[in-house]
Parts: sequence; C-alpha cells; structure tokens
Amino acid sequence: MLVCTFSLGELYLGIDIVLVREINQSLGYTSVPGAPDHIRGMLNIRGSVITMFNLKQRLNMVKYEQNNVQDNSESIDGEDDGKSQENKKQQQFNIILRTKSEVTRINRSIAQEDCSWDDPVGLVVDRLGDVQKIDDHAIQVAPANLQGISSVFVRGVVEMDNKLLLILNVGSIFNENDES
Amino acid sequence: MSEEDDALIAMFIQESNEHLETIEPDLLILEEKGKDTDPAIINRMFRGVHTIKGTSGFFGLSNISNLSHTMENLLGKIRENVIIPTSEITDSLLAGMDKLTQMIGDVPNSESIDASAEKAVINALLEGGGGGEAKAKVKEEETQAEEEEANADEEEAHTEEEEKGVAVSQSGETQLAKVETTPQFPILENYPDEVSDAVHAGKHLFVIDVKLTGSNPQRQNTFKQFEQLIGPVGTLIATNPEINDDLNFLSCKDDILQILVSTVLELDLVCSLTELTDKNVRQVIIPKGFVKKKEVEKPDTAIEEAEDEDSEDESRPSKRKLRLLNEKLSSQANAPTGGAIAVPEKSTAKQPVVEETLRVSVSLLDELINMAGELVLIRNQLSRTVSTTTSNDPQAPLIQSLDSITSRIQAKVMHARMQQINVVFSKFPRVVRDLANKMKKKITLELRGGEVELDKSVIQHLGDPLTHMIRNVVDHAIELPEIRKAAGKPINGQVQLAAYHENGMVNIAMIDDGAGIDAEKIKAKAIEKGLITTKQSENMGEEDALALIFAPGFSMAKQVSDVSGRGVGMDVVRTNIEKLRGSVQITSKVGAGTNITLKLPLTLAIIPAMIISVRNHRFAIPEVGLVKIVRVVETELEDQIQMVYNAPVLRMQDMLLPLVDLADVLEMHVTWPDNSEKTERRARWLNRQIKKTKDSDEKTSADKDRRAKKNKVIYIMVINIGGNKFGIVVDNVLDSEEIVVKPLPSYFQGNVCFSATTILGDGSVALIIDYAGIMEKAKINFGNIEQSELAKRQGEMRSPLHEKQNIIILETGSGLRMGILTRMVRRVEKIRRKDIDLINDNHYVRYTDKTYRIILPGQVLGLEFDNSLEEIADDENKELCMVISNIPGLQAGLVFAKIVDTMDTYIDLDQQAIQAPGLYGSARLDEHVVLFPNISELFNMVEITAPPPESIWDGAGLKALVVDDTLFSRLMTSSYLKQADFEVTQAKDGETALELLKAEEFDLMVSDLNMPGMSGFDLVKETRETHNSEIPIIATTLFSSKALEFRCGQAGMVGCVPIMDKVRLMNIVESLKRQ
Repeated sequence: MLVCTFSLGELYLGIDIVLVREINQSLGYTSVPGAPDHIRGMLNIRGSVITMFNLKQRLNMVKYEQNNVQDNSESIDGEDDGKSQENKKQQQFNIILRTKSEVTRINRSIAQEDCSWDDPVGLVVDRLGDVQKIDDHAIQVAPANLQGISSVFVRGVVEMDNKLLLILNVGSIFNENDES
Repeated sequence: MSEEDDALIAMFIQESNEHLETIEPDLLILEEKGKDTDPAIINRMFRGVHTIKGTSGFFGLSNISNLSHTMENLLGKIRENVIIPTSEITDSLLAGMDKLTQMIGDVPNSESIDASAEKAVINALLEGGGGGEAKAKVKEEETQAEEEEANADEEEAHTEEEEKGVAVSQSGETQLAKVETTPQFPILENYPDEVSDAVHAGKHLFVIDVKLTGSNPQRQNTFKQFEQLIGPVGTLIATNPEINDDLNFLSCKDDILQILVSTVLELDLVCSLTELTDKNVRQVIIPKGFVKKKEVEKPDTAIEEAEDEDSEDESRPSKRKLRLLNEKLSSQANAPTGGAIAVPEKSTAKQPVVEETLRVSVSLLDELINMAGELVLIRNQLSRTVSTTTSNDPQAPLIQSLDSITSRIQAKVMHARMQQINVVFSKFPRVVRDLANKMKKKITLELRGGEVELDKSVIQHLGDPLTHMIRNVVDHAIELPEIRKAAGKPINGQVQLAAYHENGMVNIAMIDDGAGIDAEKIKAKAIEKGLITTKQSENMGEEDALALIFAPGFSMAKQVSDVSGRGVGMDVVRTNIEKLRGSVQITSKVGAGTNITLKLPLTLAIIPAMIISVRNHRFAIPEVGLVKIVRVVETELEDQIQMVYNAPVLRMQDMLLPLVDLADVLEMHVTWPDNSEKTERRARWLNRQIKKTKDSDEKTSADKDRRAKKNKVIYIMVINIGGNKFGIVVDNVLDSEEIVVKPLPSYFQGNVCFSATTILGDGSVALIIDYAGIMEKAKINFGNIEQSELAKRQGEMRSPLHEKQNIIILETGSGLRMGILTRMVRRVEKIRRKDIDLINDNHYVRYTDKTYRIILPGQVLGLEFDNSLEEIADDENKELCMVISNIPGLQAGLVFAKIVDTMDTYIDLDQQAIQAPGLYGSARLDEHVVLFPNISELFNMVEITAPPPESIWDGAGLKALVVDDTLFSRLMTSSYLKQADFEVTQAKDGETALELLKAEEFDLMVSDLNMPGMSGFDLVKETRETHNSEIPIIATTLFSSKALEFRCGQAGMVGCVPIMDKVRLMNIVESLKRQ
C-alpha cells in the first residue's frame, strides 16, 4: 500500500494514502470553546468545515516531549496571532482526510475497516515526508508502548532506512472513546 | 416539431397546469357544497377545462381534448343545473382531472395514455343524469373498452413477439419454473434495506395480488395503472414472479402478480384504495429482530442521505430493477400505438422545456453554493488588495461589478435550494378527502402559510411525518358525524394545517377540533406498557403525559386507537422531525381537539446574523429572536446593571433583563476552580466590571483626555426566546451578515451553546450561538427574576423603601453584625493586629504608604463589648478588615473582625429599637440584627474630620427640605446638610413635600427623583406653582447618567447627584451659596 508519511516531533508516522484528501499549510483555525485539548479547531476548506485534530495532543505526546517542542497553537481569532511564533518555528501542515463516503467510492473495504468518521476531519502534523510504498507483509505488530504512544493508535510498524515508521490506526484517533 | 411549436406547447403546459391547480380545490368545494356551490366556481372550472380542450385541440392532442371535452360536458350540465353534483360526480371529475394532469405532464406521450375508463364513467353519468344506473353502464363500457384495447394490444404483442423471437418465450419458461420452486413470497431477506427502511419509516408491508389478464401489453397496462395508484402512497419493493427488463407478465401463476409494497397506510385503507378485498391484500409480518438496529442518525447525515439518494439508489439492486422496469414501461408507452396524430419517435419525443420541471440534483446545488461562497471570499480578498493600493484605482469599477455579480450569484444559488411548503401541503386536501370519504367522516382541511419557504432537504423529509399526522387526525381525532352532532360540534371536523415563522424556526401546526387526547388514559396505557411507573405517572404533568404518545414502545401498541387517541406511528413523526433538528409539541383538550406543532429549523438555509466578538473570538448570533442591542459605556455600567439573586440584570423599561456574559458561559477565560462557584460567577463578573470601572474612574478623573479614549463599551444582545427575554453580553458587534448555516461537526455536538457553524466573509469558520443552549448553560431562571420583581412590588406596597441598597455586612469580634452601604466605602482592606500601632491612645495602621487612623465601631458607639482591639482579634496575626470610607481626604477606617456577606437588599430600617449617637438604626437581615452605623458621624464623634473643613458649607440660618421616600438616603442627605448647619425638614414623599412647600418657605430643596406617587420631576413642576417657585432644587438619584442630568437641567433643577454622594451634593450647595 501507499503510505503518506509525516513527522511529529521525533516520531515518523504514516497513514494509508487512500484516506488522504489533501494536504495544506497551516491556516487560521477557529477554536471551539469547551472543546477537548486535542481538537485544534475548525478550518474552512472550500466551503466545508473541517474539524482539525492536534495529533500530538491526541497521541498524548505533549507530556512526552514537553521539553523539546512547544506547541504553537494559535487561532486566527485569538489575541495572539501567532506571528511571533511563526518566525521561530516552521509552520505545521494540515492533512485533510477523506470522509467515509469519499473513501467508500474508492475502496469499500478500507472504508469499512478504517473509516470511523463521518464528518470531514484533518490532522495537524509538524513536517511532511514522502509517499512510501510498503509491502503489506512488512508491517509488524506494534509493541504495547511506543515512545509514549498508546498501541490503540498504532496499526503496525515498518522498519525503513533505520527508522521505524508507525502506521497509524486513524479510526481510533477520531473515536473519542479510545483513550490514550 | 419546430422550436416555435415547442415554445407554444410549453406555454400550453404551463397554462394547463395552472388551470388544473385551481380545478382540484374547486372540485373539492363542489363536492362539499353540492348544488349550493357558487356558480362562479363552477364557471371557473368550466372555463379551465374548456381552455384545455380548445388549446389541446389546436395542437392536435386529441386524447387530452377528448377527455377535457367529456369533462366539460359534465361541468356544463352541472352549470345548467341539469345534473346535481354528487360525490359520484366529483369522483369522476377528479379521476378525469388526474388523468388530464398525467397527460399534460407528459404531452408527447399523451396520445398513448388510456383515458377511456374515465371518459366512460363521465359519459355514463351524463347519460344517466347522475342516476343509479350509471355504475352498471360504466362497467359495461369499461369492459367494452378493455376488449377493444385488448384486440389492438394483441396485434401489437404479436409484432413484438415476432421481433423478439424465441428469447421471450424462453425467458418466460425459465421464470415459470422458478415460480414453482420459490417458497412463500416474499422472502424478506432478499430486501433487507427496503424492509428496514420501511420499518423505520413506520410503514407496513403488504403483498397485493393483482389479477392480470389478456395479452402482455394489456398486462403491462394493468401493472402500470396499479403502480400509479400505489405510487403516491407507497413504494413497490418487489414482484413475484420477478419481472425482468423484458416486461414479460405472461409468466404469472394463475395470472396473479404478487407485488410487495411498503406504505404508511393500513390494511383496510390499502384495500379500499386498490379496490381489492383483503383476500388479495395480505400484510407481511416482519419478524422481530429482522430489522437491524439502526443507529440514531445524525441530522446532517440524514440530510446528506437525502441528497445522495440518487447515487444510493444505484447500489440497491432490487430498487434499481424496479426503476428500470418503470422506465421500460414508459418508454414502451412512448412507442406509437396509432392515433389521430403522428407522435414523434422516441428519440425525438422530448418534453418541451418548461421552467418548473427542470430538475437539478441537490448535491449539484450544494456544490454551487460552496463555490459561490468561495467566489465571495476571493472577491473579498481582491477588493481588499485593490483598496489598499490606491484609492483611485482604475480597477475599482471592475471590482465593484465583480462584487455585485458575485453577491447576486450567491443569493440566487442559495435561493435555489428553497422550496415553498406548498409542495408538501398541496397533496393533503386530496388525501384528507379520500380518507375521510372512506371513513365516512366529514372533514374540512384548511391550509395556511403554504408560501413559507423551507430548505429542500427539510421539505423532502416533511412529507412522511405530515402524512402520518394527517392520517392520524382523520382516523382517530375527528369523530364520526353522529358523534360530533351529539357532542354539539359542527358536523364537519375542522383540521387546520398552518406554517409560519417564529423565532427563526418554521412552525407547522396541525390543529383539529376532534376528540382530543385524555392524558390520564395515556398514562394508564403507558403504565400498562411498562413505559413509566405508577409513581412517575403521579408526578407527571399533562404535557409530559401527552408527549408519551411519541414514545417508541407506545405507538407500537396495537390497541392504541381505542385510547381515544392518536399514536400509531407518532414516534416515527418525532424521530423524523428530530432528524431535521426540529421538535414536536402537543397540547390537547379532551373533547375540544388537539394541537400538534412541529418546530423546524431552517437548517442549511441562509439566516441573517450578527457577527459579534468576545475575547477576540468571533461568533454569529442569529438575528431572529434578537430584539435589540443595548450599548453600555463601561463607566455607566454600574448605573444600568443591578444584581438580583446574584445575577446581573439590566434595567430595561419596566422589566429586569437577566444578563449572561458570553465569555463566562463559554468558559473562555480562567477556568474556575470549583463548579460549585458557578452561581457566584456572574456576580463576580459584575463586581469585576464595576471594579474596573471604578479603577478607571479614579485614574481618568486625573487625566480627562485619556478618559475619552478609555470609554470602553460593552454590548448587550437582547434576546427573546419563547417570550423569555434575556441579554447576552458581548465585547463588540462587528457586522451583520447573511450566513450559510453549516452543520456542527459531531465532535462538538455535546456543547449546547452552539447550533451550527458558518463561514464568514474572510473565509474563517465561526460558530453560531444557540440561544436556548446559552440559557440552559447559564441556568437562567426566569422564575427567580419574576419572583424578585413580585417581591419588589410587594415591597413597594409595604413601605416606601423600595430602592435596593448594596450593603456590606461585617462582624465585630463578639459577633455583632453591622451593615455599611457599599456606596460609602472606598475599599475594604485586610490588616493584621500587629500592623496596628497605638499612638496617643489612638490606633493607626500603615497601609500602602499611607497612615490610617482606625477606630473600633463598638468603642465609639459606647458598647460594653467590642471596645478593644484584643476583643476583636485574640491573635496578633489574625487578619482584620479595615473599611475605608469614601469621604474624600479622610484617612481613617473602621475595623471589624471579618466580612460576613455583601448583598443587595431592601433595608427595613428600625430607628426605634436601638438608638445611639452615630447609629442610623437597626434592621433584621437573614435572621440577624444588623446595626447601621453612620460612618461620617462616627468619625466626627472621635473628631476625625476631613481636611477641607465643613465650615465652608455654611448653611446657618437656611432652611432645607429633603424629599426622599427611602428613609436611609433621606437620613443621609439630611445629615450632610445638617453638618453644614442647614435647618433640615424631611418629607417622605412628593405630596408631603408639596404641603410643606405651600406652608413654609425654604431656601433649598433636595429631592429624590424616583418616588412612588409623585415623582421628583412632578414635584419640581408643582413647586413652581407655590410661593417657593424660585427655590433651587437638587435632584438625587440612584442611577446617575448624563441623560438624566440633562433632563434635570431641562426641568430647571440646579443639579443631579447620586444619592449619598456628599461631596458632589455639597459642592453644588457651595456653588449656590456663592451666587
């Protein structure tokens, strides 16, 4: 399968490219008062409202690498327009995912297995990687705890060029019941 | 067919449809009124039919023209009173009209539509003069016509079969074989989706045996007729034997075609509709557990589903098959069958373009809306770049045109989704008529508000629930004529279906004057069904009890109809309406009728909204329900906003408006440590704001220029929701925009404060505020406010002390409580005993670079206890409270052990019980006796005086009149003037004051403005009529404002000061003296 890879701090992650609709640079998010921390806010992509998940928060990585990276959450509406931080730190990327019905049109089985979300959603990640072709057999079962990430979120791992690529279990990320 | 003809035919279709639209209701009137029908109505029908006849003749559409001719004849006879209209006659005319509608809807193929049956019925009536023999004749003619057709069809069938060759017969054989081996039809497992859908929509499944005779084309015809019959009320799911694309009906066993149908109608209704006996119609029992538990659909997905209906259809093989079947049938019908005119071949048999019939898929419209939205954003960005470059840009006009066109495109595209509710309503008169006839009831249906527009997706989902409701009304609510007569009601049951806008929702009310629903019986039934316990039912209000009929388990009960009530499928109504984010309300009165109101949102519609900001976050507030916006300058906040039961309220006209700070409700700043503090939050917010104001006041009085800039304002959005008004406090109102409502992502649906999202002009997403949610979250209790209003009014009756005072209650070391008006306090500070120094028998404390003289109230008042510091604080580290008065220049404070409370309350001051110098009096508050010391007098008693000696306010030998209904402030004002050696006379109201003014001469009058009976302004006016007309008058008021000061000036007063503001009062007195 083809995997869209990206990094989150030191972590090298990937998701099935069938699930990805598009990728763009960080724009202004509209934060939602009272929403959980891992929801960064909402984004308008050509007229549809996308709920953006802060992947780092969702994977509970913030505690893990608190010292290394400072989350540059900013909101266009917020008092802090983030410009000062923009200079310090490179901009993050939005990976906008396809909705279940969109995936269904491409691959019904993937839609049933991996797509648990009906609303348009997206992930906020630090850096983008290449698209990698991965042999299904190369995917190994993930150990119980990987660098502080709960195995609930990981579908499997692949060894690539001395790096460990974590294939995300995207469904569990948007399933609010799956706690890290 | 030439283009010109096309255009002409299009006009004909449009015109004919208009006529037909008026004919149907007219026919219903004809039926109702019979021979008493207004001749104008009959004439109108006659003209309509006549026009259709004439025009269709002109185009050579002989089939239409023949039928309309026949109808015209009958109408003509009715017009001439030769035939008296009976229901039989209207039936026949309605049938004819239906046929006409069908033919006109499909002009190119109209020649092939069979209207002989309708014609025969009407002709029979014409000949029989409406007599009883008509029926027999009809039958005869019908069979005759059938036979004739059969002959023609057989010929046709021959040629067809020849064309198709052996293939047909072969497929026929295989199917025959299949039928024999097939077990009992239907096998529900083959159609899980359809069955589930039907069950969820509260439909029943029936197998209907349709007898097919004659040749294949004839059978096709019968099948098609059946399909037309059942089409409007149900769905064909499958047939047995399965009919393939070749439309071969010859394989039916015993010439019976079994058809599986889902419909909301019940067995008896299906029978009467199809005119079959219940032998031929069998209800299919759906085994329990067969239907998959469907997840509760989210409203937006429900809508999406509707939009994707087309694509979804493709995925359902059986449905598709049936559709193909129908297409095939109609295309076959297209084939020339021979007739008066040469019907063009199938390929060219295009329907002339009629605007109304243009179909565009909803998803396409949605895409267009999205793109139009994007266009607007681009336009906005473009116009921004242009305007920033130069003001005289040559491109400016271009941008302007782009601007206007973009707006228009957006508006039009949006509008394209809206449909009039008439689309749904218009079918009901007929449904009601047919059902009522079958049940032998007399019902008048009144439709109102058909022009109300709703989003197409909402309209689409309204049909089923409304049909349910209508059917229930006819079936259960409206009594039989005899019963109605016995009950003294008009024989005709009245059913009203009305749509109207309210609070940003569209309400659809169905009101009947039928039997009504007995809440007690409903309860009993619900207990029997185990839905509620006996105990629950005892505490259950009528409204809640009635709502039980929407409970899922309830409506499933077979015997519901004997509970005097509705019920069958009502849960489906509610489920459907809730899917549309609407709600259902029901009220009923036994014997008088029922009112069911559906409240539907304009979801996906465009709504006008105000864009507001709170803490720099933008939100949209729907303009519906927004009464007005109040702008409050922060410096005036204190005067306009009061606290009632710890909740800030805005005094607006005659009412108190509860306020909600949006930032607070949304928890947009510091999270509060404990939930229990929530109730206090609003109070704190106000205090915070007031404190801010005070701080800025102090600052700005020093620097007046800066004050103008710092005059921050807040806005209060006054909302009216269901008659309850409240105010939402926001930081800023930015814009008024027409916004497109987009569904709230499911991740935020737990948050009641938001109803949806929208995209703002600059492309960012904003949340739409849900009033009801805000109210719920903020726990606004309108009852409390009302109570306090009531208490206030009662208080006014009881004593003139109707103005609330904010007081601080403090406790001395021995637990004695004292109350001090907040207005007299600059601030309260915490000090320690060890910070207090004793110099010359006087206590001093250093605090923020200043030395304050402190006194113990107990000591000064000469109490036996509380007269030493040690008694107040046994430990020298213990914190004490120092109350610093706001007498200017006075560096002195009173020391107490602690603050007990602050409260807004009415002080019922008792001057008799406890009397002492330096004490106003006492009052009972919260079961405690509270002493009210006169702070300035206390300080005077220990010879602490402010630097500017009072001597300059020398009122010696002058007489002052103090008018105030509030004892407290009257005493205060008097004491100020007394200190300046005025001889003070007090009056408790305007009337008393006027008496005094008439009797004596005064040099000064200080009057409260707000008094019961004669107000301050009235008093001033009256004063001018006395010999004291030249007296200078100073107004005192609880809420001072620029406007009020101005009004006072206009009324001829020399000044207007806040109550108990000694300095300002005395300054005015001083300036008077100098003059």
